[in-house]
Amino acid sequence: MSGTHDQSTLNGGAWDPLAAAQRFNRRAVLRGGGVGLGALALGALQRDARAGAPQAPGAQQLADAALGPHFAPKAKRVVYLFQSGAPSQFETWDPKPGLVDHFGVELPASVRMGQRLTTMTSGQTSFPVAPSKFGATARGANGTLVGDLLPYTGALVDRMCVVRSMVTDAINHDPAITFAQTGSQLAGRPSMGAWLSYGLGSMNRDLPTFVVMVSSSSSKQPLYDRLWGSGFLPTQHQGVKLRSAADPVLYLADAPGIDRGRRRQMLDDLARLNALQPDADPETTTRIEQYELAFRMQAAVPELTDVSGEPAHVLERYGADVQRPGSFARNCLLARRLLERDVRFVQLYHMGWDHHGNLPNDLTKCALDTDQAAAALVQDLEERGLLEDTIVVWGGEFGRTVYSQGQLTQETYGRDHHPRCYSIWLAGGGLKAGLVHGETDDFSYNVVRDPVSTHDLHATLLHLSGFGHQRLTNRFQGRDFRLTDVHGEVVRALLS
Amino acid sequence: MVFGLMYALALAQAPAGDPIDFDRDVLPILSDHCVQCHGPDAAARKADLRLDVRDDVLFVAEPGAAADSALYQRISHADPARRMPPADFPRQLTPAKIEALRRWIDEGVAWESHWAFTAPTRAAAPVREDDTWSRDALDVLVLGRLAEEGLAPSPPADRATWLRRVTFDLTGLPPDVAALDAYLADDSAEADARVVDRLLASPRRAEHRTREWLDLARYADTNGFQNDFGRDQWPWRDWVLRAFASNLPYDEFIVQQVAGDLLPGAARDALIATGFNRNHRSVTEGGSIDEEWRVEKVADRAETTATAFLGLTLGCARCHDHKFDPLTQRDYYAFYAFFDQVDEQGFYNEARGNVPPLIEVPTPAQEARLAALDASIAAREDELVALAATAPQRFGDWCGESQHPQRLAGEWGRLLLEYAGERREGAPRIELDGDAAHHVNLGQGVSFEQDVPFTVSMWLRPDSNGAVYSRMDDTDRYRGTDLILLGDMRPAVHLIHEWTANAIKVVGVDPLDKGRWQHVAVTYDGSRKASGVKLYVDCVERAVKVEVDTLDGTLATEEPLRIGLRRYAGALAGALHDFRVDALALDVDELLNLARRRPRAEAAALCLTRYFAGSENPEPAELERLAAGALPFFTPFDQATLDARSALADLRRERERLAREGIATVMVMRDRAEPRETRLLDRGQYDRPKGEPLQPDVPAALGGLTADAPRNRLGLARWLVDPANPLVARVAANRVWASFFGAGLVTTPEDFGVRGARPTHRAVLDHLAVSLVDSGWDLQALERRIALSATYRQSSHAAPALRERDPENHLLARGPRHRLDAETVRDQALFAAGLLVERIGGPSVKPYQPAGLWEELAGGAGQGPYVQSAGDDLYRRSLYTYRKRTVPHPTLTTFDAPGFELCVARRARTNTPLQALALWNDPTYAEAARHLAARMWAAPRSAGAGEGVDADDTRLAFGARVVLSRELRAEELRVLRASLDAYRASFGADPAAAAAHLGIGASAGQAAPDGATPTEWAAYSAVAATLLNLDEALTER
Repeated sequence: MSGTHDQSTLNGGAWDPLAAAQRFNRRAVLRGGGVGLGALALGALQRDARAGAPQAPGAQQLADAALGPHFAPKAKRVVYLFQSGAPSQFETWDPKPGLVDHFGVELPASVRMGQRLTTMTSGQTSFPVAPSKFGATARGANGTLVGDLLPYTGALVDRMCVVRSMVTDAINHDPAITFAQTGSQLAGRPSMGAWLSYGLGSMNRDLPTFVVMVSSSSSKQPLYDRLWGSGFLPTQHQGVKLRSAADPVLYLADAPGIDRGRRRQMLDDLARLNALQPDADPETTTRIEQYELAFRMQAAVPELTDVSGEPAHVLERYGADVQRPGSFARNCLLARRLLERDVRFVQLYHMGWDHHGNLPNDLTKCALDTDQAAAALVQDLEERGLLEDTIVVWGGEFGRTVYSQGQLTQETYGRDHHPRCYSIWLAGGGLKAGLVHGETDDFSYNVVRDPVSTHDLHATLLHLSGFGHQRLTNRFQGRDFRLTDVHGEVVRALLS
Repeated sequence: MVFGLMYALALAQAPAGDPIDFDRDVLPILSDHCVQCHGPDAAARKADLRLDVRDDVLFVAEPGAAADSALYQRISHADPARRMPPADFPRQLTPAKIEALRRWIDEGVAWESHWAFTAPTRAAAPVREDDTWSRDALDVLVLGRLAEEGLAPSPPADRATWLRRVTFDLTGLPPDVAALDAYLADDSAEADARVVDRLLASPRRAEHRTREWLDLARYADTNGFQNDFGRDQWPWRDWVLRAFASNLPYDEFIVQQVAGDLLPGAARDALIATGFNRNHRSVTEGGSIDEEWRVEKVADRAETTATAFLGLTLGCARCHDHKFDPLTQRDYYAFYAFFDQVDEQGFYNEARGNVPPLIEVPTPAQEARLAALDASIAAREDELVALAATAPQRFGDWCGESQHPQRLAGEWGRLLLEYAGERREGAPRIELDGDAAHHVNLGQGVSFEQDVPFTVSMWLRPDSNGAVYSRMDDTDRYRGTDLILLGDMRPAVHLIHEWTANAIKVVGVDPLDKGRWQHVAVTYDGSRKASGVKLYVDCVERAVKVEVDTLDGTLATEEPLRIGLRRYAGALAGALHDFRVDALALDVDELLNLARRRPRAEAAALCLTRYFAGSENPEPAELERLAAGALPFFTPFDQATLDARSALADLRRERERLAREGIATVMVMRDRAEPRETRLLDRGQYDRPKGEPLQPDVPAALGGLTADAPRNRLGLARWLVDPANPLVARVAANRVWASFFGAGLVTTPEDFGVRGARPTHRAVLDHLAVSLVDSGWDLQALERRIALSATYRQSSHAAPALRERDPENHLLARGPRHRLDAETVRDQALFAAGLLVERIGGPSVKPYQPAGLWEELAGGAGQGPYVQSAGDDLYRRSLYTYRKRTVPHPTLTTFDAPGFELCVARRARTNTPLQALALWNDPTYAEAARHLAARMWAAPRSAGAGEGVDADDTRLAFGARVVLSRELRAEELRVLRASLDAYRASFGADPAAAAAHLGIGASAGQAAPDGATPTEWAAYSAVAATLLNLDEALTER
């Protein structure tokens, strides 16, 4: 068939991913989609269609259209638990118990070194140190210090890599989240999930390749569709948002008065009429395939989101919140179900971590909303044998300041944005377990060992997925773009 | 094989025997494989060798002797360590490319400039004697190329197909049945031209062309970024509509958008046109850094201008010299300098709506009303001036009437308010605990105005930062006034009409002391100037820093006067007493009196004696001298002045109300009075300017500006439209071509640089570019000739062999075929349904959208939930659909509309399951199908059939004519009839389903078509939906 990689014409048979990317790009952009051409005779489809059990090999087609990895991947799937708003590292993964002795003391200028602040606190003349109000306990074999607000995920440190030395370039939410998800502070680039869809294609014949779910605790910073957009990649690579509303995927439910039989009737009619076209072309075939995929999604998505068959002990593991559609816990459970069905990239967002003031109360709530379910997801994946080739990532867009924003009292405090260090954890396929990577100074203000940039994290995730981050490119407006822009190094220390 | 072949066409090597063509065969190889390290980027250059400059190349390439040339030796070296490109370079040379370079050297190292950087010429096109096909010079060129390839053009499309194609391409809508019938009945030689001329003159064409331009202009109805508040740029969009409708010459189209504000005597329309460069996103997220985001706006303007008009990827030179094109980083910032002069801030803290510079865009009726108000305001202002001149006279009279200074003393000072707080146990003070719920609300009794003096004073013991007092509406652009203590305890005073465009802000240099009692006073003299605001602490005037000084508008707000709170400034902890407001700008002496809490009478006496000391019966000259000093004290007593002021305030309020509630504004370009120095930014970073200031200029490789050209946007605009500019006309002609063929002759319309695609037909492109300029930049003339060309008229059917050979139709051996654009898909459905409401222009509208999409992401930030439009606005053309950047309308996105974030020159055309779901289940389409069914039901019997044809046949045939612009074939009719019967049976057995299916959309109550049962209507609706979902219906062919 014509849609497979055709290498011989240009370079005598050597596998040239870049040329393939360019061919793919031209084909996808100019031709209308990365779906293989002419693969399927209309007749075959019609036979299936008439039987009412269409077997169009849509997934295979999508996979064929992808570039394929550069080398054997360690992980086939990724689930990214994005904690939007930026969790404080002090109360979570980078506790600094010694700060208790510095309560209210001015942050030494030698630590701050005049680095830029947001204009919310740049007017502040006093920067009193605010120790975490909460305890921290040594967990796991290595005695990794974890904030006591995270008892469930804290119990799993032996299965994780905790990275305490993340740094980012951005200081406000919009550019920082956009950076974390697309590798650029300015919108317009493809998101990580879109890159993986573009590079790896689908493993699933009736669900999207890249699925997004959103939840929140109280106050929230907004999110944007573009965070899971495909940028300049074809839109088929954009994330599909799975909503807690009646229609989990937009327009999934058939219009009033249309049942499955009537929808089937329409698809069969379309297939018959398209087949009568004297000048049908491959694009016509592709459209029929996409219609059939949509028809299958209409069955597959409700089956996916129906958790009534989950055993009680599994539901309990995710916590009571799992009963509430749209909660982080429910989304974690759905993430597991998606990954089981070989959806390539599952992106969760939990909003509510932006604690400029009243941090002790609000952060406790966020932790309660997310800790148990995140741990349950890891355990569930492990028990099902999926963790070995699935990557789980937990983290936000930057860290928080050691000093209090606004008034510091014994009871309460707030923390401003802090790009110079923050903590995340990863677990699963190809990653070392029980590792703490990187270190910050006593004030968790600057990284003192093994800094990891956002680009480095992206490079590492691509590496685990089988890609050289410098080679997964797409040409747009005359330039070959990468997820990692012109930066990034694989963090070898994290690899098992 | 298909794609390899296609690629071969694009990049391809010359067939053995043909001479090597430098631009086609060699330059792309050098660009892709060599110049990243041996090219224009000085910083990245290795071995000090450039392979983008012929003199350098000749060092390593001996003409006629490849084997002896270092270039060839290195690329073909047996030792991988010596071979170029290096092994770790991601793009390695293929044997075919090495061979091409060898031949190029052996054939003499031919060299020419990049094709797009030399001016186009109109190619001589020899017409072949046997050419009966060509209808236009462009056809001759296309035919010549086909002959070279050994191909013949495809036969013409049938007439109905051509009509549907040309109607979509010119108007974004299909032909209606009447137009189809009229055209098919017109067998005159002018029939085609008549159609094209009719379509060119249609307002629908202006709408369609506008829709295309909006992609490049990154037009949207919100600011983007975190808050993504709404804005009103639609007056600019309406300018584009007018420009296309009046066939504004393309050079004017450019000049007005780039520099309309700098044209001598610029009319309002030319100012509105400059909104093009304000369509970019803007940041309002609190805490942002101003310069960082100002730089982004300037960069966006520069890069958008380069892409939209020049087809240049200038953005690649922002952080370093361009890797492939002759654009240096210095060129970038010189170009950027044109756009760096705007009188603006980088970010507008939490500002909603349009931000300056902006202009009002009133309707004619509003304009008349405004003119009347402005005249009345001017008259009142004159009156006040006159009253000031005669004030000494009235002052004298007033003094004469006042028998006793003591009586005056009771009135002086115009004490407006005195508030000591609840008198608790001997403590006449207001205690504030820093809790917002416990502030003191003093109601609306005291108002503050931009042109009325006042003094607010108090004893204050602050224990925290926060608001001392405020009368301000934080949710209405912070209108009002306040005194707040910043985080570092520095006092700040605001007088705001609209933050920050129209406001005063002064900040005390020194902080107040926490925990200490201080006497604090703010005085204002009504001058609308920051210099008229004084800050006293302990009766000593304090140094202040003026941060904003742009006030010219009322301070009036409905918010009460509050002590200890302003909504977004936080609550104050502390205590105060003797809070008072006076209608005068008090001076130090009076403040001292207040601070010392002297009895008011005593203070008044002191004051008055200062002016009347020893002057029981002053001489006129003496009186005048005294009066000059005392007038400020007199003004509040002067009834004539008070009356005039009050009338003026009423007029201003009315004008304000009109402007706020009725008159749209649009953001435009306006340069600062003081030029801003532009410097190169190291690595593109806002906080790393370096080097000497740069003059605005165009890239050196494109010639630079002439010495006499103004160094501003007008100079830039004139350079763009200079016929000698090699790029602008080509880029425009290419875009017009793409409007018809679905892809440009240069398939990378955003990149005419070295790495962009080569034109498939350079002669055609150049011919059209030159004639565009020669025609006086007449876009319609260009569209007309393409639409009427033989090339465009060809059938789009591709036999397998041809498709195999040329899948992308680069050779133009057939007509265009591609899926309809996002907007066209929806507009066609509304049009076929008879639902489309064709009202031109105005604010954007909100058609159906699933509930909750905005709230899920924005959490109510920005604008709260999406409020669907009602009535006609549900059915407007998709051009008018509200464009929210962070949450674009889902079906537009699904069909590949861009996100409106950045300039986009080319859309993808994908084919995904989400498109299927939207077409099935978005109420837009289900409702449209029901209306189309009603039209089909009522189809006239005569439609293509004689007696004896049954009603179903007639109706189905009509539906096909509406949606496909053609007759049904017998076999198709059989399928549709069978389908109709199946739906009849299905809905007949399930009346509830039929009723539900007929209840979709806002028009659900519409009357059933005559004689149609619900079952019939639902069955027809289902069949109509099938028609609208046909691949043929969604494809231009």
